[in-house]
Amino acid sequence: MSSAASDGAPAADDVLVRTTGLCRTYAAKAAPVHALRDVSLELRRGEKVALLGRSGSGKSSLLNILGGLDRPTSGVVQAAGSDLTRLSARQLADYRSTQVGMVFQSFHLIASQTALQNVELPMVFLGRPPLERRAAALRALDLVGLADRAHHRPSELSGGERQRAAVARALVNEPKLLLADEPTGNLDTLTAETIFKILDENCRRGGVTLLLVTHDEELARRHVDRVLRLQDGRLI
Amino acid sequence: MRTPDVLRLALGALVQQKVRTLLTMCGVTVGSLVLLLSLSIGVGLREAVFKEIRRHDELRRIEVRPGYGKVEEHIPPQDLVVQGEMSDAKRRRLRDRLVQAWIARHGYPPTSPLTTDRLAEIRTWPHVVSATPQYMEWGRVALDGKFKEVETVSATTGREQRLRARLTAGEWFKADDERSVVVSEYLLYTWGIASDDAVRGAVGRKVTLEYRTGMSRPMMLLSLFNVDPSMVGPEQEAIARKILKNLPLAATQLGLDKDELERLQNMLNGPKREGVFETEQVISEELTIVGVVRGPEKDDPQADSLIDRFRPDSDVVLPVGMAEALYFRNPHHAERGLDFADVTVDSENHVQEVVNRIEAEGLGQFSLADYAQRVWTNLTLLTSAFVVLSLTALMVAALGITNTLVMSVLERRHEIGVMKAVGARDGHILGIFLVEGALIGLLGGCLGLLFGWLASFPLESFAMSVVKRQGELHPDQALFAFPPWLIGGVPLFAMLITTLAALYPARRAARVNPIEALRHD
Repeated sequence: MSSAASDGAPAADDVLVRTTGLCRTYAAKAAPVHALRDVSLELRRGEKVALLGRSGSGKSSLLNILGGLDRPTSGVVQAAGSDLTRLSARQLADYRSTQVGMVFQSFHLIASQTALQNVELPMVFLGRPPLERRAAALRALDLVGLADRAHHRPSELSGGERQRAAVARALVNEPKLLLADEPTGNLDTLTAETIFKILDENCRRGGVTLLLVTHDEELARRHVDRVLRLQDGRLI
Repeated sequence: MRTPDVLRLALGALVQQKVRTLLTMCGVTVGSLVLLLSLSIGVGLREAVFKEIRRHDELRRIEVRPGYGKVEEHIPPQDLVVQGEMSDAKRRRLRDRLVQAWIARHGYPPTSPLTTDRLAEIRTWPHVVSATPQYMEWGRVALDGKFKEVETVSATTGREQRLRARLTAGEWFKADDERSVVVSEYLLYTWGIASDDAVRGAVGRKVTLEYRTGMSRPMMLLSLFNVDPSMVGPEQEAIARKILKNLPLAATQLGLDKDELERLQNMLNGPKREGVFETEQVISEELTIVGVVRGPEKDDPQADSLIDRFRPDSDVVLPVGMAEALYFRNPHHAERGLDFADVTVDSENHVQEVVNRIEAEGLGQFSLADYAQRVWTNLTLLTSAFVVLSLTALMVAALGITNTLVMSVLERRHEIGVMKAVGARDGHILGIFLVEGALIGLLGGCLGLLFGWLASFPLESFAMSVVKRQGELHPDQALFAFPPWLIGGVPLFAMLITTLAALYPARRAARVNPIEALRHD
């Protein structure tokens, strides 16, 4: 069994995420694809963890399950006090909007909406009043240094600015867990450093647990508490 | 998720695809417009027709007639016996001819005559307010020996109201049984009384009114010479009678040879045809002209009811009592009763009950309630046909919406994936797409309402001109009606249809897998 690299067992209430025997298998025409095999790990509250691994090692599959976008084939996922495998689709959606923030390599901003509207979006689905969410969105944009670009559409922003908007959107609901899937993959080194700093600062400020998928081990090590490695769906 | 946010997101998506949204909405607009106009004209026309019918309280009136049962009930059975060996089909054909021959010889008397006694009994029925006899009869009227063939009518309800308004000289009857008559200005004109002064002078003069029963042999003789009946007075008839009497004696002067003369004598002295020429009887009465009425004019108010419009104006109008007395001096009328009478019922709701009783008595009837029901059914069928057409148009538009939104789901998979990734529930996505469909329906329906209302103005003028040209309906209200339920109902119905049309794409959108949607970006 693969296990998380940890220094001693953390207290139960200190653990935000715990997976046990997590497996994810995708049906395929030729043969089933085992994306995750018996993955067990723990993420402590406020902890920053980097997840390294080659392409196809199962990093995104793990993030999708922890983010409530996918369900494991087997195993248990405890996150923010809930067993994600037992949640209904509706409860999973609520989990995504209240407990998790996600940042993607391709930013995944809605092109027809401004940066401000994109950041407001998670709050829209929570039913928060317009004035309240506008203020929160502006605050989040300010934290990532994008307040002056609030009313620009993604097409009018640079790659770094788009990712900062995406980070603001991920943090605006004050999640307990931030999942970042190659957030700097499409960015130059300087911009990547800025994004890491932003993630680092905001997670530290909010006590947010960060699970960062990246190829850039050097950069990651400067900003995370520990590193996990996935190989062929197993933690090593 | 707050409702204004659902609306904002849905509206935003529609605005993103302006041209596509507009084209889709056009279909809904056209469907709604046709639906609106179909229902509008249906409702308006029904209101106009029923207002017209109710104008004279006609839905409470029943025209009662004698009952004519099966014709064979009148014929003695022995007269219908077909003698000899033959097939059943031939026997049936010959029997039918015997029936026709019997009717030609004897006429067709009613099985249930409408007598005055019967009319008096009808007056005692529950819900019957009045039962008024209608007397119409062809006769001859003479002034200073000049005869005119005329139809005489009794001054009964409806007709009295219409004709009294057209009095140009004299006055209307004061009593039902007075020995007087109201004549038309046309009748006076045919007598050479044309100027207004002369017309006024005719009031107070005496006329002779004659009704004849049976066949007038002198008139039949004169008709062989195409003599105008108005030229024939008592003196002319006396001459014709004298010719008839002496005609056999004059046979020798007709240029016939001996054999022909003998054959003629045999015919004239042979057996006579029975029951063909009933002895003529003349019913005559001298009456005083008390009033003169003019003919109808284009601008006359529609004082006459629909029933009365089927009863043409006559040149001689008699007070009811006098008309009745003259009518029943005819022995045939005494036996066969009235041709028809008007029965008025206390409420439209009781018409059917009285109609049923009239029919149970074996009498014939005509009521506008039947007519109104048929009109209602026809208009409903017509409106329904239009509604089906417009619903078809709306359904086609709905299919367009389904297509548009399915395309939209495919194009917006990434957006849907993002929404789900940041916390949108399936229900939120479903709601956004359903609202998109509903908005297209609502906006299309409102536009249909607006354009339909605008189109109703030229259509109203056209429809009104057609209706007025037909002449039987004179509506004083718009033919296109827009009751509140229609104004509110059409956009709401369009919205319902388009929301249902959006159901499939909306469910498809709600089922989008966010991982796949984001991976394919």
